[in-house]
Amino acid sequence: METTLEKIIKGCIQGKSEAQSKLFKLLSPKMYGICLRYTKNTVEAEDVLHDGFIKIFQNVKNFKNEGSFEGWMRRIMVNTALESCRHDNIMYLASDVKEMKEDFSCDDITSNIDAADLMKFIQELSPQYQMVFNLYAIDGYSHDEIAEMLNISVSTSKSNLSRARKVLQEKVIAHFYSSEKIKQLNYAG
Amino acid sequence: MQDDSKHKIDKLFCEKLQNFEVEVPNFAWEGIESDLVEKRRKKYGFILRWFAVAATWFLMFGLGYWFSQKNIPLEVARNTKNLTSIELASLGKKKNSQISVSAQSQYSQISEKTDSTESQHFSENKNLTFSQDSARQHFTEIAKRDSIIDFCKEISVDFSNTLSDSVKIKLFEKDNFTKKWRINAQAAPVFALNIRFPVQTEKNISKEMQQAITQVYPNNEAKPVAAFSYGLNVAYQFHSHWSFSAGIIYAKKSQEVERIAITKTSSSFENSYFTYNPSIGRVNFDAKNSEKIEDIRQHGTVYSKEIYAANLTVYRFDINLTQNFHYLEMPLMIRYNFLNHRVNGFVAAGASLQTLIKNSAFIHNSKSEFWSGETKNINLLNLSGNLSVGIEYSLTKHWALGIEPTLKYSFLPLSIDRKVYDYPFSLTIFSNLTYTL
Repeated sequence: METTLEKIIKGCIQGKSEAQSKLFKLLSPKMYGICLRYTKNTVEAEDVLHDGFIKIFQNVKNFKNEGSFEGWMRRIMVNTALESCRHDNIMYLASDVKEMKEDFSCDDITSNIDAADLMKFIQELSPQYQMVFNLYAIDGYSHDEIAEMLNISVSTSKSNLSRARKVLQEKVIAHFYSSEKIKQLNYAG
Repeated sequence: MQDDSKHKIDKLFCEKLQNFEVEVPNFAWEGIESDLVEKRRKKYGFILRWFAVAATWFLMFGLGYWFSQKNIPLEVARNTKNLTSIELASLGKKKNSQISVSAQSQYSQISEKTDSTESQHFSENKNLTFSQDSARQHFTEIAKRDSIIDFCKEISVDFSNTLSDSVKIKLFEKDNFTKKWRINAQAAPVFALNIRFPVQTEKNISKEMQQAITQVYPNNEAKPVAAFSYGLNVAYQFHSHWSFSAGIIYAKKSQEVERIAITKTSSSFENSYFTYNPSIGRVNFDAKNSEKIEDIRQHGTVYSKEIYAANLTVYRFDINLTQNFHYLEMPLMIRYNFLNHRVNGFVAAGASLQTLIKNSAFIHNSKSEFWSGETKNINLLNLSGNLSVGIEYSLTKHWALGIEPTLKYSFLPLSIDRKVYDYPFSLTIFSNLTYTL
């Protein structure tokens, strides 16, 4: 028996705009989340979302039922974001970051921080750190795959990941301490 | 310890962001939907355009072939002065039988039987047993009297049916058409124009940006600026009416807007500005030019400053932006001459491969230039369909002067930016100096 998603996919293959609209409503919030992770702001993310969905609708007939449809869509969105990044020539190496002294081990830190803050931290990374961290840590690509996708060496990919982690760790800890300070001030008040 | 902390960071971000959902703005789907419709329309439009080109070529060749092959009645043919030869032959074996007249036009054999006026004249002489010299004299006189000689390139009499031996006497012959080469130097003013598909400012961008751009450019379309073009082409005339030509032409196309928008899209001041020209797309500033942007802000008249969203501020300036595009074109044309006299008229159709060799943009006022750079995202290669109508005046046997207005329509948009669909066409009024070998 066909599921709702299968019906929608079938409709998209036939080019039905109603099915396309349903697919967009169903999966665009998740895809937009991916776009935001790979871009710097909502304007760029909207562009990638637009281009990605156009590609999805144009290539949906090529989708072979190997793996999930959502996974296939995610890969298209990620590739579209990378293309957009290459197109804008922002794939440069940022300068070295300072070494972090603090260790990242407090569980309170991870429980109190929300996704919107983390998204902001990722968007603030330099473009190549942002790409490598997203691809490796969140989307599960290997360093070999990342090297091929970004046309960099495996060691560059590893080094970028390491630096991205450090920058993010710094931001997370700084955020944690600033919110703690606010709390203390509130208590004192 | 370090490995552990790395994993924690990965884990933290992965858990919180892997399936993180964000509400999508309402206009996002509208943009995608209209783009899908547009792509469908463009796909069919593309096929239709090529079909139209193919149909035009087919029509031109078809008409040319039809005119060249059509059997024109002798009298009509004489009047149109298209005949190249008249051939006379008796139909029967007897000396007094009627004579048939056949005429050779430049392109085809035309036959007319005995009752025609011409055959009556030729049949006046009942005795065909005269010498070749007297036959030549006799028939040449008749041909002159009937003005046949004016339109014939060759007149001959065939006695094969009358005499025991086959005798064909050539009475008169003009020069036949010879295939020839032409070299043509061209120079012209160019008026670049644009057709926009669809007729709207920009699409598939954020609602705020759309609103901003629409308000910035309500009636401020890019205006064509007269530029110039020159080049050489070589033509091979393979038929009295038809010729092929190929060449190489440099063409500069320019356009100008009188108001630019500088848009600030993030809090970072230095690298978040670009100007926007609705016809061609964006002229991006990079961070290095931030001080020049300041220059523009100081010298241009600030028309307005509008904040459309937290990360979108649009400044409008009354200052000029000129965009120049330099192309090297390789046209391939087929031409049909429809007059073929000293004053010749012709139509030509074909295509040009256009290579962008340079593009430049300037922000300036009447006194100074504040910024120069390039327009981004322009197609480096394009293909245009060309159509021209011209006249040519032969000064001498070898030299001719002519004028040839040419309309060129590009099949690809000027910009590769998906937000702008401009298919530029240009009107080029060539002055031609032609040398025929």
